Amino acid sequence: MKILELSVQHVRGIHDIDLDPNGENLLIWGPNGAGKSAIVDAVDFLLTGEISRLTGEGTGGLSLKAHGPHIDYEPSTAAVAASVRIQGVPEPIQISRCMGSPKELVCDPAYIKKLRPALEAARQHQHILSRRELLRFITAEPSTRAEGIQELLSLSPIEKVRSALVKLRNESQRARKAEEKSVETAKLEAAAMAGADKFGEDEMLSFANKQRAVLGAPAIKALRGKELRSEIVLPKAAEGGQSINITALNTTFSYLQDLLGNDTSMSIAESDARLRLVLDSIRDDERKTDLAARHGLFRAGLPLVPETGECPLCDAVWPEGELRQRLEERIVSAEAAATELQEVDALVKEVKTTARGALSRLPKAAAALEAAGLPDDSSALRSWVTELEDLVTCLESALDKYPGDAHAPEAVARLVSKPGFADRLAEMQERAAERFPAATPEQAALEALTQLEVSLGVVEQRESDLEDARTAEAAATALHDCFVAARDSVLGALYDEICERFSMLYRELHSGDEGAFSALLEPAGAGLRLEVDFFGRGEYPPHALHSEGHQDSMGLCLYLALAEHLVGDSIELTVLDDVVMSVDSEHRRGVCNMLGKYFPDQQFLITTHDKTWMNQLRSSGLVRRKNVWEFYRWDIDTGPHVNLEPGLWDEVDERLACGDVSGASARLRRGSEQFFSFVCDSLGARVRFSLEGRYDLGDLLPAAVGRFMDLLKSAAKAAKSWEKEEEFAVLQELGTTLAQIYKRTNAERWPMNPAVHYTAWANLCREDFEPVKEAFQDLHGAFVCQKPECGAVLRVERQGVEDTAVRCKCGDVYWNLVKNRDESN
Amino acid sequence: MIEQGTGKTPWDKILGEFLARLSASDAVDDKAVVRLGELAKTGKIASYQSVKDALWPPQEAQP
Repeated sequence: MKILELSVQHVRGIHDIDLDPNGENLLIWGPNGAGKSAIVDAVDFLLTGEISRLTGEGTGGLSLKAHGPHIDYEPSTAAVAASVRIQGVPEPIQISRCMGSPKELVCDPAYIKKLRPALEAARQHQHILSRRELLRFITAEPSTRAEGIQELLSLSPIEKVRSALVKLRNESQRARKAEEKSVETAKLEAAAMAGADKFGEDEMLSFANKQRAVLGAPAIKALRGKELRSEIVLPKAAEGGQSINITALNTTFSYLQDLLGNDTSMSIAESDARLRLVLDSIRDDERKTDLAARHGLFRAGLPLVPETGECPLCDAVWPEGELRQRLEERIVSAEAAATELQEVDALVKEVKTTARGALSRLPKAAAALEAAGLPDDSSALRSWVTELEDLVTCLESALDKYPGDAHAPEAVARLVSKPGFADRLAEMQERAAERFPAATPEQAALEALTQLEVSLGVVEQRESDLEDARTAEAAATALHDCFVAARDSVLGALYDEICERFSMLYRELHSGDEGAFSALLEPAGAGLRLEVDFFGRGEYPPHALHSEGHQDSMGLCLYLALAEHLVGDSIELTVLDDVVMSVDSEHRRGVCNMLGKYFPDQQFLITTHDKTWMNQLRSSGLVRRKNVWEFYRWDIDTGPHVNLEPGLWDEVDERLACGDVSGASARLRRGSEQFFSFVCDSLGARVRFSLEGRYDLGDLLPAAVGRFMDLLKSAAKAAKSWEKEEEFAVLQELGTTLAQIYKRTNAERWPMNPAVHYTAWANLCREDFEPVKEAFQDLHGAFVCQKPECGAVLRVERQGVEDTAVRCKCGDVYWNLVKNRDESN
Repeated sequence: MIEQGTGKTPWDKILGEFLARLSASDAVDDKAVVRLGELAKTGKIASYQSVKDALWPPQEAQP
């Protein structure tokens, strides 16, 4: 889409204005506050129904309805209309939008479908670039840059999907770990059932076969719950009545009495006392906790620090050796704290293991007492279980929670059982024995096998659950990994292409100082890393070493590379809103050349307050004179005062028509000085050096003409060497014509007066001055392309230090300067 | 935004490659991949609960 005509009424600072760029580049220039950006807002509104300047961060309280119309005007009177051309539709299309109904784009319904790609691209605000966006790409943190660029690439869902998949993976990991603990607990309970300290298949099998031998059954070879009681003929003594395994219960009681006995109590009391002491020492110094917590990180990080010294975690650059030294110091100071922390872990483990030993047996004993009709005793055991679980929970977060309210040293020494609980246990055992006299060996064996079968069943179920959890974890991990790999693969390729184009555009712009520039754009976690070469000395973030001007150049090139790749020809309009503010004059010329060379089919709407940049855009041919609009003053009633940039010759003629020869000559000299300074720059003419940097026409004109003649001669020689006789003749003719024109200007005759104008010209009458003006007009014309749609000043192309060609922007003028080497030999 | 010449957005390409990689993985069964593909088409792939349900549908036994 290109804009042919634009009409803005009562929008932002604009009262009423009509522009007619006719699909060509348009330049609006003038001082700050003259209303240039209002045109940008108007185009933004026309294409999107929004004004991006009124949305986003820092625009709270601003709205389109309240702040979109020009002051004192209603939304219904604020409107933008345009005549646009889109590819594949020969006739212009009229579109308009009013702030009274901003969502409605008014146009012939027949064109809506054709307009959609352009409007869709515009909705992403991919057609407007201001300095704010430049910095968003360049100086932003990686995560913010990724957000900005991914938004531009319509990739915003990426992070949402990744977060969902990370959550899924983490949850499945937690579920698998919980199942692992369940298996461990079930095995401990099964081991306790068999009177063993830990669950070993051989030990459990041996226990089972021992019971089977008592019952006269053959040994089994594998430990499977279903086979434990196979091939057993039930003895009469084992039948009926017996509902608890009194032998197993007695074993449990003996185990518990041991835990509450003096030896164990003393051992627990000692560990607990030391634990409290170390915990107090750590808690007294907050820094110690922090250091201890990070000790592992310091140790793990030290070997990862590269020789160049960057931080392996955040890539921050440290002076060589400093980060390594800092980590070593931290490790020393964290060492003592870490040792204390390790001691806490060991002491906690000791107490916890004893408590878990009791916990693995107590539920079964409580269930047996319940079954034996001893509910009070069963309840007492269950209360103990609760207290023990509370103790274990506190110990698991010892630094924060231990000791809890119920954990006085004497209570912990008896494993938080009630005082005198050992005696109570003995009474329970007696009562159970009264109810269930010692079983016969067969009864005991059958009961043991039954209990073991139940326990093994639980172990098998838990193991099966664990397997499922592992499968689920593998699926969740695969989901996450496949997504991240797909993201990195697709975006990697996409970013490589964009980065290559970005680097090429930047090299074009900075060929003089960074001709070997390269860059790296790649996903980094949830962010997007951009690093650029700094004069062959390595890659750094763009804002680390490059100047603001260079950063602006990078932002412009990156934006153009992104927009070109994704928008393509759906919207051929790009608005550059004061984007070269901090780029110096030389590089701005590079921007002109780059835009003209690589984006010849794009329509640029450029705003600037800089007159030099305006002149460069004109002299380079990027913007034709008729499309240069000056907004030179603004007031509330009329909006901007507008000048359609007048031509030098029109102004000279106007003054001559009024008989003002002095004014006309002053304008001619000023205009010629400006023009020939661009010519000297474009052709690389040698101008007599001035420390003040001020050059008048006497310096510029001979240098420009001399250089031009030299280039003509070189081009003619080159044409001759390639046996291009016709071209040779044209170039010869050009040289002759130029010499004649130059002679007509009488340049040598006019004294080079550094005053405001040629004094001698000012004394001429109108009739005498006319031929001088005409000669200068012809002379100017010799240095520019004569095609109306181009009109650019001719410039020299170079490869390294060698001049290779003279050409205009459109390529209609092209003089090869490179001779045929075969001919030279 | 449609990429030049491909007719696909980068996001479409990411989803396509994601599903292709999943299909090649033994960790996720084919039915789940189809369900995830449906989620991708409807834009619900960014919902944690939807992805979880696609992987382990509520009516089937949860692992």
